[in-house]
Parts: sequence; structure tokens; C-alpha cells
Amino acid sequence: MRPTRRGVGVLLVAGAAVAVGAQFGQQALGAVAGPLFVAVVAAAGQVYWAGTPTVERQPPRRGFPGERRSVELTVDGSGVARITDRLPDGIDGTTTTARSLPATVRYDVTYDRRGEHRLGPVDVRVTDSLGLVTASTTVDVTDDVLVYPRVYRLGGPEAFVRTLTPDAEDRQAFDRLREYVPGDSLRDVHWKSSAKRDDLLVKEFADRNSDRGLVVVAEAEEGHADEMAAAAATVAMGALESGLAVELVTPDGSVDTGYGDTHRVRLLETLARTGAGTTGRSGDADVLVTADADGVTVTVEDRQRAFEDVTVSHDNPLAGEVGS
Amino acid sequence: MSVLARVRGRLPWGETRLLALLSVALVLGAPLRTMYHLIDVVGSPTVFLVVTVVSLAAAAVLARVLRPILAIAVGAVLFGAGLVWYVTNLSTDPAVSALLRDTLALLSGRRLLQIANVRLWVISFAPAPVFLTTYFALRRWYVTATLAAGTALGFFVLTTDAGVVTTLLGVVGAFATIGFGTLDTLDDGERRTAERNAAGPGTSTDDEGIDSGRRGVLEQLAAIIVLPAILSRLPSVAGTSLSFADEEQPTVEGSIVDADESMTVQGDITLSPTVRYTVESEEARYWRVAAYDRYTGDGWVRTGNDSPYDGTRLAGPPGDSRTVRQSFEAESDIGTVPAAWKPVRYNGDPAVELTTHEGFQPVGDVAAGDSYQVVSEVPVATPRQLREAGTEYPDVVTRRYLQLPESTPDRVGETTATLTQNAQNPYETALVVERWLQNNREYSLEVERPERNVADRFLHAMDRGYCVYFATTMVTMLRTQGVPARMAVGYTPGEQVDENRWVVRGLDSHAWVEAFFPGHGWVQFDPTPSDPREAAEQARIEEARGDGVESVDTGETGNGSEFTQTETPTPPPLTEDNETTTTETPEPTNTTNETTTPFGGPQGDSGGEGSSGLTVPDLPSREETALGLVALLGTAAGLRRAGVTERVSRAIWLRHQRRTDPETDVERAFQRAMYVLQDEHRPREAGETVRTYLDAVDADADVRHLATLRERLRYGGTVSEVAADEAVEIADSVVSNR
Amino acid sequence: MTDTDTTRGQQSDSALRDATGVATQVIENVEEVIVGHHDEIEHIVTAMLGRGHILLEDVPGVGKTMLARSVAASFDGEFKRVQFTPDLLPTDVTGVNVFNQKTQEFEFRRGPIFGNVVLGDEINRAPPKTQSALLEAMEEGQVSVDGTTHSVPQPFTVIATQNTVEQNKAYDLPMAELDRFMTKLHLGYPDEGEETAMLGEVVGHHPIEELKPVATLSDLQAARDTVADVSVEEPIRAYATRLARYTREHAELGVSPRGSISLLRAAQARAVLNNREYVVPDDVQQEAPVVLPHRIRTDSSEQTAADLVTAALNTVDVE
Repeated sequence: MRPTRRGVGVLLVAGAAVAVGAQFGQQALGAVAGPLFVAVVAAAGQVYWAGTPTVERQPPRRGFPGERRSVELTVDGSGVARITDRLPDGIDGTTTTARSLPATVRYDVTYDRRGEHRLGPVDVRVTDSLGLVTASTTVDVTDDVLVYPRVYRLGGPEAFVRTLTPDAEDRQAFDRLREYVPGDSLRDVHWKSSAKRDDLLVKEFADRNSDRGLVVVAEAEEGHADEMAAAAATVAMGALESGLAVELVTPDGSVDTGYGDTHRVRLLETLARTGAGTTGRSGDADVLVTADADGVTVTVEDRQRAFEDVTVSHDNPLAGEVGS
Repeated sequence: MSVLARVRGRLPWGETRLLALLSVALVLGAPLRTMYHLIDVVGSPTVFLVVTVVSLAAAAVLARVLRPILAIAVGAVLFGAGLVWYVTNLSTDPAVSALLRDTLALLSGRRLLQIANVRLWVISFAPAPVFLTTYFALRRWYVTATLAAGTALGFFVLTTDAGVVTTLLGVVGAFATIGFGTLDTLDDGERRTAERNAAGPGTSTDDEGIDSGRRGVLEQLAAIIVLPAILSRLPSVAGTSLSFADEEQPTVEGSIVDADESMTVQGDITLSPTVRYTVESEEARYWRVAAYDRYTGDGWVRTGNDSPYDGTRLAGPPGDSRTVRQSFEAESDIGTVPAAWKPVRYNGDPAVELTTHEGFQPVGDVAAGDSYQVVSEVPVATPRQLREAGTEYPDVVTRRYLQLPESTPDRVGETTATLTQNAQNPYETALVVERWLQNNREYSLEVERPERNVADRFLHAMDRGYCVYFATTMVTMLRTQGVPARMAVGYTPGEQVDENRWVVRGLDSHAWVEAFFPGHGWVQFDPTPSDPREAAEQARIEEARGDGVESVDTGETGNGSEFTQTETPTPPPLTEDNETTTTETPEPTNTTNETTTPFGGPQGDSGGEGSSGLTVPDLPSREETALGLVALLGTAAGLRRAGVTERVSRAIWLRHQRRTDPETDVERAFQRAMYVLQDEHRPREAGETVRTYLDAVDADADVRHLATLRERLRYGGTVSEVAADEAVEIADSVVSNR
Repeated sequence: MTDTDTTRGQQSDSALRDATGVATQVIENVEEVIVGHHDEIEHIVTAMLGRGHILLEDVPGVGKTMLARSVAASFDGEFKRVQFTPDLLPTDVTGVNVFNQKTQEFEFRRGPIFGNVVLGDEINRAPPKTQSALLEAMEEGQVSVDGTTHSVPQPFTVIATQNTVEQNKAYDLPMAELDRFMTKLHLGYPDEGEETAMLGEVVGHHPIEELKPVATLSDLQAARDTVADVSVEEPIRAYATRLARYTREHAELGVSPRGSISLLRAAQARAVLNNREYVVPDDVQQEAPVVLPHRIRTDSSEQTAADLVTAALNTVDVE
């Protein structure tokens, strides 16, 4: 706790009043000096009793680089406070506000870079109502925010399939046989096998696409992890959209093959957190994404393309679906 | 919507801004009030009011269009113009060094009232602070506004023209401006950002925070009102420049004779028995110390500057006079050199200056043992000569000695005119007034100091007082009739110990009247009834002797122990009623209705109001009321923050339930029981249902039953009188069993 | 947990008692066949009383089908079963117009959807068009075949199942479809004692073969009407709204208004099960974990929808 500039000024005026009054005897100076001194003391008391304010943050939702989010801080306490939420690199915004407590502070941030970012702690400077004494504290309230890598739009599913999927295998053969259950379509009965047994056996077809999986492996040289993540994300999201199951291998983690919304979230999470490096599994890859100083390349079987050639636009096909 | 809410809705300003602007009014009002008082003393305040209003209006208009830097320039121009106007319009043509010296004297405590042309001064220097304060307040630059008003107030504090209460109000106003102003700026900034982000979901202005902030300001204001007042009374603080409470009862001597260039009429007063001088003189005279010419309504100011005395013989009074030689020896440390009027030559240990009233004033202090000799020429006009003196007063006399404050009630003049209607010349007027006061007012050292005009109150509402009251009233009355008069202070002759020796004590200090007669100069009158006064003085001497006070006697009169009352020059007390004076209940006023004038004037009283004998405690002044209100609000805010009010109201709410309708009753009963449970165990958590909570705290069957009744009401929509009765009963028993 | 309300003697009182009786008896009846899963059985019954449809999701072989059949058998209505496969056509579900040689006209041969309790096994394997036929029946109470609409019988409840293990190979049920199921239940393996007991039951004659109906269709309909009359006062509605808004603020996709309506209907049924004619927050809290999570898509893979619902129940002010 220390006096503000204004507080120091008040003390100086009070001191001058006392000195002049002692010298010349103007009685009303007592009505100046006394209240001024008391004001500073009362201010100190007010700040002391206000104590440390409590802060609750409503963390912003996940998103992609370039997106804007709003962060809400609920600050409880008393006095006039100057509240600053410490922002990490990778998240931009002006976060300092002055308010009279209790208050709800809202400020906007923009996601700059992918990755796991930590908001906070919150610096609070509490001043008394008259602005004479101030005390600074730091409230240890932190929240983690995950920013996904950028995702671009691939050149359409057909193009994708054409350029990136391995050569199609014969899909005429059915997958397996199983026992007949009332309600199965009679067309599926495998008469040949059923003849040998008492009950009917039906063919269980695999969905043409539903079995198709894609192994995406991403590697990058030091300092190019962001581009690698963006390219791998674009490929993976595009694959999911076309109905393929995606398995992802990154230098810092991998995700087993899977489908669906939860799977998508897992893929994006892994790509958000991974750094640069190698995986040791580039041989298993259906699609290999590599990033280095010369740029990002996508390799399928023996064909290699610059990633730029495969993207049709820089729009994020997931924009608006995630965390808005 | 209530009326208040509707009115609030119409105003373009928020509550906080209103509070801030009110505070600005307060901090600006303090110096304005002082200036008004200054002007009122010397003449009509109309011009001053016009100038103030114009400055206010100009600031209000320009606040919208003018940029702050330009506004400061305008303020500087106003100040400079005022300065030029003042200097060029002075009747004398003082040198720059003299002006600077005067300004420094003002800043070290010389009252502005002593300046001859104080009216011009105020009008010249009023516009700048008024304009700047108003402009910046409207522009929300509250600190700057406070500085502008505060500087003006500070100046008046230094010249001691601003009283303690006025100053306190100004200081409170200054802090309130800063406090509410800060909140207003925050509120305003918040509103702007909310408007910009209008797309944001439900961005409501944080009323709770601003509310809490306002209360915080009130708390601090209460602290700065209450604490210094309490601290001022502490023995270690009282008497230092931090305190502003009244000290012990002043003595007559202290309030009159030792007073410097200004004096304020006091309330209760005591007599000091200490011996001051031993005089050897050819005859007994009133030993005059000084005179005062400017009446402020609650006191006197001596205008003009002292001039050096080079030891030569001064002019005597016009007209006949005789010489009286006096030799004085000081018996204690003192600050004056009394002498009979009119002194013409001085010679002695202490160096002296000449006052504007042609008396002598020592440059430093007079030590015990110092002696000096004075030659005086005493006017010896006969009554007939005085009657025929005429009314051709010189300008220099009428300019100075007919002044009365503009706020003097008209009835003073009317009453005096009635009393003196049979007087045919100024001398008779003076005699009538002198005698009327002697016969119709009693002598007492205990008086309730009046709030307003002393002369008006003494004449119409009071029935007793001491010499200052008598003298003040007579001078005022004479002035209303066009007779130039002034108040003189000094000592009565004292105790005669030898043919030509007198011993003068502090209790001999006295105030009387001098009236001007063309061709004869200043002639002395004494409206105080002398017998009661002398009786009181003698009683005091006996009392001091009985107490064994040494200084009451010299070798020639008696012996006693030294008893020093350290009298530092009493600082001019409050111009308003002192909030810290213990107010006594005034005695019932019973005016004696005998009015005898030597010229067969009309019977009947002069308008003394007979009050019924009820003792009504003195109402606090407006200012005190305002301060008390703020202190009260602030204390309430502080209590609220400490949770005291909530706890008290919660305790009341808990104990007693007033029955209204079944729905409210059941719900209220339930809440009461829940409060008890919360107190005994723990509060119900946010996501916890009532049933789960009751299980968790293992509640009694009757509480559960109450909960069921309430559940049925809240979720089933049914309730009955019976259920309500049951519910309240259970709640009462739960509360009483805790 | 049952309350008894004895201070009102109005006609709705007996209707309430009847409805409670129907529910309790069905539950007891099913428990003769199914060991354990008491809570899940209650939820199924409340969903039926609340005019909702049920989705059972679990690993294969824990008795999903058995459970559905037992519930259906407790009523004297028609029980139909559909096994969904990837090549199932919509007409396989709804029925088809068949040309009758004799009468030289097209006759409508009803499909398995025309039942009072319809069990749809492995719904996530059905192709989209077939899924939508089923959903249309669930939502509208009718199906369209070749331009003609046919109403399904009332009361009509669909119990659908899906196996978690095979999710990779299937069509993920989109959120819009999941939303139409009032309740989603997860059975899980029985505990050791239950498993042993169950084996003892079913190795011989399966008890389901001896299960008799304990309520008629009109009983069920009456119970449903009673449930619909249960009071839902403003505080409850506000609570449900607060819960929904919480999920929307803390997840990528939160509970829709349809979800809140389903929650309240389930809560009404739960109130009747507890023999009460008004809903209290406890009813809402009991039904929320099965009514809400499948409508929520969370932000992160660390927090499941069930976790979010638990957090909502712990955080949101009950009143």
C-alpha cells in the first residue's frame, strides 16, 4: 500500500497548511490540515479493509487463429480498481480497464497463434474512493485456452480422393457372414453358406467408404510446426468430411483411427499442441505432410505436391462451427 | 413509476454526475460565500452577483464548444483583466512593491476586509475561478475544477476571511467532487464502451459497482467531517494549528484589546484580573488602545495601514482642548500602548507606529517593566457647542465611518429613528441612544452569541450583554442616522491608588463609542451601564484575591500568586456559529418595557420581542446541518459495508413475521427456517435441491413438513390459510429454538 | 423414493394413483426378467410415460434387446422388431404397396414400424434414408409410402439400440437425430452378483417366455394423459432454461429448446412415478443425466457431455 501522486499532493498541502498556520495563526487552516490528513488515513483504512478482490474468469471458448473472442471477468470487492488480465503471446487484446468494484469486465481478444495458452494471472490495483492510497495485488486466477491450427479448404472431395487417396481397391467382396436376425433383408442372405447349415447366414457388407481409413503423418523442421499443423489439419478435416476415418501421427502425439465429432476434436487438439520434429512412422503414412524452410509438401504414395496447390482457398471450413 | 423515478428519468444526467456537480457547487460555494460576505459588509452585492452569474453562464455555454486549453487561456485572461482593472481603479496609486507587500500580508493572515476597496477587489477577481471551475466541472475534468475552486478557497483561508465551517464545507466539497467525479468518469467511460459494443449480449452498466463506489465516497467524507472534529478536542491536539475547536472562554481583554486588526464579537466572556499597567496621569481618562471603523455584522475590522511615527508632535483635535500628560509602566507582558484620546506625542521604550485612527501601536511586544510617556490633547467642547456642530462632515469621514453591511436589517434604522425622533441634532441623537442603552439593557458577561447581525439582535432580541455589545449597537444605530461613529477599545481608568496613580487590570478593558462632530473631532460616549460593570469588576478582583492570584495586585494594592494564562494572540474565531461550542440554553428573555428618553419620547418598547419563556435549544446553522447530514450518510454507508445494517435488519426479519397473505407467509416462514439451518449447518449450495439439502443436514421432521408445505405452494401452486398458519408456527418455533 | 400426498380428495388424485400404479407394476414386471439395471428400467418407463423414445447404447450382449422386449411384453400391445443393416431400405421399415393379383389392386403391406413398442436394433448401421423414415414416424406419428401417409398406432414408442464397439464402421447418428430421442441410456456390464444371478435365470427357460402383460394399452394412454397434466410451475421452467443456457455457454453445441421440453416431460413422468402431481427440481435433476448429454457436443475431448451435465447440475442455481 502506498499513497498515489494525488495522495502525496494532499499530504504536502496539509503539511504546508500546518506550517503556515503555525507561523501565522490562521485558524481555518486547521479545518484544512485536519481533514486532509484524516482523508489519507481514512483512505488507507478503506484500502486495507477492501482487501484483495476476488476474480472469476469465464474463459473464452476454443477457436482458430484470427478469431475474436470475448473474455468476461467477474471482480468482487470494493473500491476503484484497475484490472489487467495478463495475456500470453499468441493472444492479442487490450485488457486493462478501470472500474468501481464490484464489476464485470468484458474485453475482446484475438487468437493469434495455435497452441495452448494461459490467461492470467490478474493484476489488480485497488484505490480508495478519493484516489489517495493504492494497493497492488496479483490474483492468481488462470485459465487455459486452446487455439486450434489453421484449417484451409481442400480442392473438393473428388479432387481430394483423386489426388490424395491411395488407389482404390476392389470393394466387391463382402466383409463377413453372420446369423440371420428377423428384420434382415432377404437379399443379403448368403445362400451358399446357408445351405450348409440349419439357419440362414447373411452377408454383412462393409460400407464402401466406412472402412476406408487414412493415416496422416506430419513432420516438420524446427520453427515450422505451425505450417505443418495447418496443413495436417486441413488434410485431416477434409478426409473426415469425405467420410474417411483418420489416424493421425504427429511428433508430439498421435490419435488412433476414428470418426465423428469427438474424433475431430481430438485431432484438432493434438495438432494444436504438437511441436516440430519427426515421428519415425513416415513409412506407414497414407499421406505425409512435411514442413521445412522451403515450404510444406504433401506426399501420397510417390506423388508429391506443394500444399498450396492442393488448397483451393484459405477459408476455414470449420469457421462458425467451433466455439463461437 | 414513482415520481422520483420519473423525475430521474427526465434528467439528462446520471445520479453520479449530479452528485459530482453538487459537490462542485459546494466547493465553489465556499469561496463564493466568503466573497459575498465581504461585499455585503461594504455595500450592495448586486454587481458581484451579476458578475458571478455571467461567469457561470459563460462557462456553461462554452463547456460544449471550447477546448480545454482555450478555456485555461480564457481563465488566465479573466484573471489578468481583473488584476489590471483592480490596479488601475484604485484611488491611490500604489507602487508595485507596495502591492506585493500587501498581497504577502494578505496571505499571512491579514483580512481582506481591511482593504479599503475590497468591493473592487472581489469583483475583479471573482470571475476567473468561477469560470474555470464551472467549465471544467461540466467537462468532467473534476480534479482541475477542484484545483480552481480550491485555490480560491485557499486564498480566503490564508486571509482568514473564510470561517472554519465554510472552509470545512469547502474541503468536504473538494473531496466529494474528486470522489464522485472519478466515479462519474468511470461510469461515463463504461457507458461509452457499452454503446460501442452494442452487439454484446446484455451489457448492463455496473450499477452495483458505482453504487458501492458512491457509498465509499460517503464513508470517507463522513470520516473527514467527524474525526478532525473529535481530534480537535484532544488535549494534545487542541491549540495546535491542526485543531479548529474553540478554546476556553476568552476574556474581555483578549477579545478586544489584544485583537489585532480585526475582532469578532464573542459569546460568554470572563474578566482577567491580572494587573497590566500602572499609570501616572494628570487626570483619569479612558486609556484608549485602538478604534475600529468597518462593521461586518459579527465583528469589526480596522481598515488601512499603519504608518511610521518619527517622534514629532501630531496635530491635536480641531477645536478646544486641554493637555494631559501620562506616564505608563507595563506590569506584565502586553501588546498595546494605551493612552488618552487624543495622543499627540509619544516617547518610550517600545517603538511605535501610527494607526489610521491616529493612535499608537507598538511594533513589537511590550515587556513587563517597559515604560512610556504620552502627551494627549483632550477635546473640551461644551454640549451647546456640540449641538451646534452641524452636519458638514468631510468626505474622508463619511466614506469610512458611515459603513454598514448591506444585510443589516432595516428595522435597526427604523427603531433608532423612532427612538430619536425628537432629537434635533446629532449630539442629541447620540445622547438619546446612549441613555436608552444604559437604561434598557442589562450588563452581563454571559451571552449567547447571536448568529446574525450583533447590533440588530442586541437591539431587538437580546436583553443583556457586555461592553462590546453596547458599543457595537450604539455605533450601528448612530450610523443608521447618518452620524459618523466608530468603536473604540481600551481600558477604563482602573483602581486609583493615589492622587494621580491608577492601577489598570485586564478586567478594566472596555469598549466604547466615538462620534464625529465637525469642528471638534471625535467625542467619546459610553452606552454601557457603569454601575453593574464596576460591580462585576470588583467582584472579580475579590474572587481572584480569594483564590490567591498574585498578579491581581501590585505592591500598591495587594498580593497574590502569579497566574498566567498563556494568551497567544487569539486567532480570529469563526465567522459562523461554531459547531463545537457547547450551546447553552438561553435564558428566557423578559424585556423591561420602560423606555424613558430625556426629551419625552414615546413610551413603548423599541420592538423587543417578549418570548414566552420556553427554552428552545439552539438550532444548528444551515452549514452544520449540511455537514451533519453528510456525516450521517457516510456513517450509514460505513455501517452497511461492515454488514451491521444487514445483520440488524436480518435479525429483525428473522424474529418477527407480519402476516399478509398465505403465499407470502409460507414463503417467508420457509426462508426464516432456512436461514436458521444455514446458520447452524451450512448454506444450501447452488445446485443442491431443498430436499437434498434437508437430507444432508439431517433436518427435523417439522422443518421437513414446512418444506413440503412450501414445495406444494411453489411447485404445485396450492396453499391454504391452514397451511400458512402451520408454516408460520413452525418457523417461529425453529427461530426461537436456535 | 415415493411421497404420499394425502390431503387432497379430488378426482385427479385417483388418476394419479392409477398412473403411479401402472408405472410401478411395469417396473416390477420387467425386473422379473432383467437382473439389475433398476435405474435404467425406471428411465425407460418414465420415457414411455413422457411420450418419448429411448436410445440404448452399449457393448453387444448385455441385454439391450432383452430389456426392450421385456418392457414391451409388460403391455398388451404389439411388439415389433427391426434389425438395421447398411442396405436396409426405407420400405423395409415402413412397409410397401404390393400388387394383389386377385383384386388387381395395390395393397399396403405394413412394415415392422407399425407396432406399439418398436425395437430398432443397431440404428446407427442404417443408411440415412431409412433412418429418416424411422425418425419421421417418431416425430410425426405417421409414415409416407408412395405419397400416401399412414399413421402409426398409438401409443407408439421406439426403443433403438446401438453398439459402441462398432461405431467406426457406421453412420454416425447426426445430432439432429439424436435430439429426437428423449432418453439415452447406457447399460454396462452387470456387477458380479447380478451376472451370476442372471446366468442362473436364463440358462434354463428364459423368463421372458413366461412374462405376462400387467397393463393395457388404455392404461398406458391414461397414464400418459395424467403425466401430461402434471404441474410444471414457473420456477421449474426457469430452472430447466438455466440448465440449457449453461450447456450452451460451456459447450460447442448445447441443449436446444426441444431438449428442454423433453427434459420437462421426463420430469413430469418422474413426478408421477413418485406419486406427485407437480414437478420438483429433484425430478429434473434425476432425469437430466439421461435426457441431456446426447444433445451436447463438448469443446474438448477431456470433458464428456455427461461431465458437463454434472457440472451444470452442480453449478446452476436450483431456485
